[in-house]
Amino acid sequence: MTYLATVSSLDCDEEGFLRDPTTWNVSVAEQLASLHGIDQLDGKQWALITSLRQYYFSYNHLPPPRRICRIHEMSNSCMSILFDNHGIEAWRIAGLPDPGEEVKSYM
Amino acid sequence: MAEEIHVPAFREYPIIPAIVEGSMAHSKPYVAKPDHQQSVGYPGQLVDDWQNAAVKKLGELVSQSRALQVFLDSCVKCGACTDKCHYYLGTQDPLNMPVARQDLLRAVYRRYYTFAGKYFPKLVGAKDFTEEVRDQWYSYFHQCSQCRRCSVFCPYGIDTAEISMAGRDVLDAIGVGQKYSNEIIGKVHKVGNNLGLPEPALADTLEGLEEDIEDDTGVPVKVPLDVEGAEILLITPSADFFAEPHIDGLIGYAKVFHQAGISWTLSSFASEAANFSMFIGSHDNLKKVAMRIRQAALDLGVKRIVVGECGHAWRVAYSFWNTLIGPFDFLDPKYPAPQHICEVTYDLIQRGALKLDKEANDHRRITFHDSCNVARASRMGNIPGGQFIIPREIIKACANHFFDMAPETIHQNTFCCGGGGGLLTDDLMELRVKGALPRMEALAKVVNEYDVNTLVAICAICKTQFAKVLPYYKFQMDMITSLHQVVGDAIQLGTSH
Repeated sequence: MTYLATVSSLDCDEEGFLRDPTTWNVSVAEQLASLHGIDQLDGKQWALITSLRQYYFSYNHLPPPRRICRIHEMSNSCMSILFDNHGIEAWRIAGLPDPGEEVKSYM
Repeated sequence: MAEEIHVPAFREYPIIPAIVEGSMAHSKPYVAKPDHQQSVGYPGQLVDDWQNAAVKKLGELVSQSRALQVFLDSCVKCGACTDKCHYYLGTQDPLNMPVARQDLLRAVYRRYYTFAGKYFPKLVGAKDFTEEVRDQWYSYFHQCSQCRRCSVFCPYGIDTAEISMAGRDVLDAIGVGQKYSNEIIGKVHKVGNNLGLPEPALADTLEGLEEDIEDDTGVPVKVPLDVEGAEILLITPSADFFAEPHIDGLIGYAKVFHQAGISWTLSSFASEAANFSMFIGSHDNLKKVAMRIRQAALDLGVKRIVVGECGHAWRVAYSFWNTLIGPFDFLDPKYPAPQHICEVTYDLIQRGALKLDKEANDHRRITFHDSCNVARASRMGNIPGGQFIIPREIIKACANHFFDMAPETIHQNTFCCGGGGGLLTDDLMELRVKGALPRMEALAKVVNEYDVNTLVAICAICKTQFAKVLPYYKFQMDMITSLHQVVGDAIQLGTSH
């Protein structure tokens, strides 16, 4: 129930994606992270989340996870190592909207 | 999600599991939203006179397809198919026996379109199309991956895939479509690929891949986009641009073309091989999606069209393209149109045009999963069974350690990965995990006997499905590997040949 209450106050859709990515800020990210069992985001996780947002606002799409990992000189599977569910939680914590059925099937 | 799914235990012997009635009656994918429905030409929500509309649509489908009518009329209930479906074996739900799945539609067909069913419905198992039947259709026609394994064993050749496609087409026509497939088909119409990846993002992705390849190998291998006058247009699943382990397959294709000195290009207009319209039995959408590829080939002035590692896309290309979007009289007649990437690579290997170091794959002990649509609905090369021989010969040319799974689980007897036919969505994860049981059992045997650590596939759906379900069966997620990653790792770039 805590999950639902917080999601509702953050205006997320039924799958937990923030509806309006421009309402995102550090505090929102921390709330979203705690919903996914991450008490405190570390430096690497913040770096990936920041890059996801930069990419999204440049290209209006989710980047291939590998693209972001390479930018930060991490292994190709850094997203699934640092976040659960093949990295889709990083997308949620970054406050970005539902990326669509096909993308979700890979995450 | 992992803890909620009961993962079936491996069977010591391949016994037929006991029936558990209704065990999967709860399994239903999310229903498409109105905009998803409308984007593929269907009513946004359940239409008012849905019963009549469904019966009318079913009548149209049967009158348009003699095959469908024969499949509905000819079953003699011999039982040969009952234990052949991976979903039955994994779920024990009797409605996942192919004959029972067919009967869901057959009962309605009989009621409205046969003499006996109209006047003596109970005698012939005919049923009205009620709300309960409609719900059963939605549930169980989305528990069929259209893999066609049952049809191999049916003495009449009844193809359950055709029946589940028809069932889904009827449901779409009354406004009850599946979110996963219909949202994705709509994206292809709008953007050109299943991901909804716009051209600038695709261009950036491919540039990134070129940088990665050069970083890793020191060789500037190109992954070209929208190059007019290239010899080959590569049509590949958009998973190859995005996800692991698919991307390494794309890198493998690029290395093959690079070393063979063949000019090639991807298209931002037709950046998708997948055609999910087949899964929902929609001929109009099938044609519209495929037509983008013909258009791209003409616009770019290419001489050949090559299809990347995608199972159902190869079925659509090999079996349907010629009538859907042909003739291909503008392509080079010296090559098959279309051609599979495995055919290209195999031919180059035969001609000695690729320099391969098998030892580069010595850390891999490989087995190969035949994907349903390649195995049972198409072919490769100019020899019978080429679709089984060619991928294996490529692996053997690139690696020293190859071991096949048991014969009753490969070639035309292959078991589905459990996620094909439009079921590769997380809302069907229980079905996907359970349906993977027979393939996982066969894999476990070669893992135990030969220390196999690599499962190679040539289908984007299979690769994605395995990446998700392997951990449920205590295998490593990264066992699943693209065939062309094995090729790419063996190719000696920068060497003369």
